[in-house]
Amino acid sequence: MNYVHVKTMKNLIAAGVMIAVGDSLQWFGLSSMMERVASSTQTLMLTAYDWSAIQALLVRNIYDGEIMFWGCLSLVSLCWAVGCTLLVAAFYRFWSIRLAALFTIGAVVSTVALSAPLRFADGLWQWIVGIPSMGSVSGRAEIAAPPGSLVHTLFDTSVFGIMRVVLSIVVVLALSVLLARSLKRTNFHMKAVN
Amino acid sequence: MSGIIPMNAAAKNVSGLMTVSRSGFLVADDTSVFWKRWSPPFFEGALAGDVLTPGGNLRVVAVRGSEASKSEIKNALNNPDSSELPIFELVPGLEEPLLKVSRLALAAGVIYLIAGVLFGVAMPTALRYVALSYEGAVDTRHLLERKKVIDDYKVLKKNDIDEGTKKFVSDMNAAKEGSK
Repeated sequence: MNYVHVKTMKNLIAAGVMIAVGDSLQWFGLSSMMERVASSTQTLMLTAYDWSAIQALLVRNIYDGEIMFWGCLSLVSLCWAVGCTLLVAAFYRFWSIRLAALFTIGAVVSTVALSAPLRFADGLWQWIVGIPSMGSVSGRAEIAAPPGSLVHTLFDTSVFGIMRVVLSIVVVLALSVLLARSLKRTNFHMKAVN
Repeated sequence: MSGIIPMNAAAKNVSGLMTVSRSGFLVADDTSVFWKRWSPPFFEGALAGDVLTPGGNLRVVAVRGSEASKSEIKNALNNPDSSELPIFELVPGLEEPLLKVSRLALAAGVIYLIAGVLFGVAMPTALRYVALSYEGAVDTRHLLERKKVIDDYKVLKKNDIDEGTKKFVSDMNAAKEGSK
């Protein structure tokens, strides 16, 4: 590997980590918002009516499951983002750039693979229920309309989805090519020793 | 085809100011090297023993020690033919399409990361404060319990079953009695 290859590899590693971290952070934001939404709904349900003891427990437990799901998801995505960054940085700093590249491929592929079921479920749900128009919800939901539609346009549908898919494919392929090439170079090194 | 190409007469007369190595262009002892960056347009320098790793062709001025002033170096870089100082073009050599791809990927990655930070950190926080300023519905159960707005134990101690449940239980008992 000469320095041009090292430079290329550094760029690609940085890009790969940014994809993994950016994607995880989006999941973190989505799930932490959903956690708060579930929690607020729980509070409203608990305080808006005079529940009997057993009904209050029931309401609490139903929403607690949802809150726990989104809370776990947000924590896992945050840890995933931090962990990927730290591990790649550690590989790069203490082992070798090639191991860091290998781990970057792993990070990108596993980020895509692990979030695939969630994306699929999300897409399926939207396909089933249709995309709700925030304007059709009466009352104070109108406040949430601008950010909601912005999120939907940018995060969920086209721009960043296509960007993520193209970027992860490009990064993984380019890093694989570079890694394979860097293996070939060892022959040259052995010849020089002889 | 990596190499150090002399750009003027002064450069052809001197040798050994730089050498090509696997890790880049090595600056020789007692030599300083200067070049112009495109953006931002500042001058940069490397000292003896440094290794230059340009991503593309790079025009540099090589100086023994530090015997040239800044304006001299600037003039030399702008007009290589009329300069006394040796000027070289460093050619990294490898026409590397992957380098260009990696740069594009890096730029796109930065945009994607910024989007991730915006949607993942900035927007949830902003929405939380927007919601706070409109309605107190963002208070979680735990927060309300801490604020003593709701109290689980009080609810549990009351332990009264509502009318609907009473009716349901009595209906069940009646149905049981009826089936016997």
